[in-house]
Amino acid sequence: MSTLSDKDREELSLLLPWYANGTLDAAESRRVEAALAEDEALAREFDLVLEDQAAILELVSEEEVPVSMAERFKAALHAEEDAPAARTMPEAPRAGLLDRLFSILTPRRSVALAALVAVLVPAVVIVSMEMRPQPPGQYQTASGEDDTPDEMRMLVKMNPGVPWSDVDAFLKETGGQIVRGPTADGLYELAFEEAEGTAGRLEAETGLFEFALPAN
Amino acid sequence: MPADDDQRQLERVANGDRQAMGVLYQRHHKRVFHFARRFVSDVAAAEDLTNDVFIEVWHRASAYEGRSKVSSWLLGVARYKALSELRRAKPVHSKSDEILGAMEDEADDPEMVSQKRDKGAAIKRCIQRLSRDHRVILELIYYHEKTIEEVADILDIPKNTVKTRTFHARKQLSAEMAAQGLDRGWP
Repeated sequence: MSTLSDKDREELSLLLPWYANGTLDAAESRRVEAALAEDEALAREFDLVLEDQAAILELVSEEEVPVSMAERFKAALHAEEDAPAARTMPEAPRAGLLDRLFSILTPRRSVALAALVAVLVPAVVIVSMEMRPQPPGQYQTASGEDDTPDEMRMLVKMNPGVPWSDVDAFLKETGGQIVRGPTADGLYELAFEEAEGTAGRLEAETGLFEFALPAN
Repeated sequence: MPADDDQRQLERVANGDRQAMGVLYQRHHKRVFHFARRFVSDVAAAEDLTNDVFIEVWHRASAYEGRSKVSSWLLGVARYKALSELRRAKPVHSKSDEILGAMEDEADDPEMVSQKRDKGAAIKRCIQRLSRDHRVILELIYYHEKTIEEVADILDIPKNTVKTRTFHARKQLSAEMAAQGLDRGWP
């Protein structure tokens, strides 16, 4: 006689495919195992999951991979240039305002300025993270925040010379924000609350972005 | 699959190592091909798409930051490229697939009838009738052996949607089976 509540059974039913593929964590696996041992309906449902799994694997194995594919890839790879764009050395970061200030100050004044910066910068960062849109070139906005797992994130490289006002307009329109960047390779990570249709918009914005890929 | 070594190979690719690119290709191209096959209407297009993914990786390996497995990243890139391609081409593949499916039904020969009685074959036929979204999610779980989190990453959907979409895919499969006279007793 099963002691599972309807809610528990429903929850465990959702996990069965991942129990079958062996990717649940140990605690979840033990929970599913215990439920399968005591609940006949859930056990019957799991039998169907195993049938589905076997059929999927068989179907995929029947789908032949073209033998010429690897050769064609080799040829395509050899045709590619030796120094692809992403591997070129990143531009040396432009000296920021603070670097320039430090460079023209005497050592003692530098120490005093450093102390002032240590007090002011955290406050400025907090204020700037609250304000949108951020000023161009200062997009280190959310590195301290927890990632929201369900939003869509993309890595993009802006086309050279793109005005920040255009990027701002695009982000406003799509509800996106820059959460990180630029990296040494000049990449920015964008986050969008709405995943639906956003990939298409990014793809269409060839004037803004040299390329866009899912963040990983 | 040696996930750590995948990352190491990708780092070598980012430094322009063609041999490492070959290693990654050998490890992953079949899985990427099967995944790509769900998004395009023919084998040749899936082949092109797969090779495009790896050429993109050759150029953009430095964009990988190690927050997901290399195998999941590759599938995410494949999905992104496939959907971009579909938007450009606006194909009518699903309609033609439906028409083809209907013609097969009407033209059932005795061999096909006996095959229909075979449960395994029937499940496979029903899987082929599932929507792309449903088939893709089942393949990500059963063939690509992805976790809930990885499926969410690859498909850009919330984890709860991953669970409910999978449940609906299973339900739809049972409904297709029932339509062929094979009641599975669930749901």
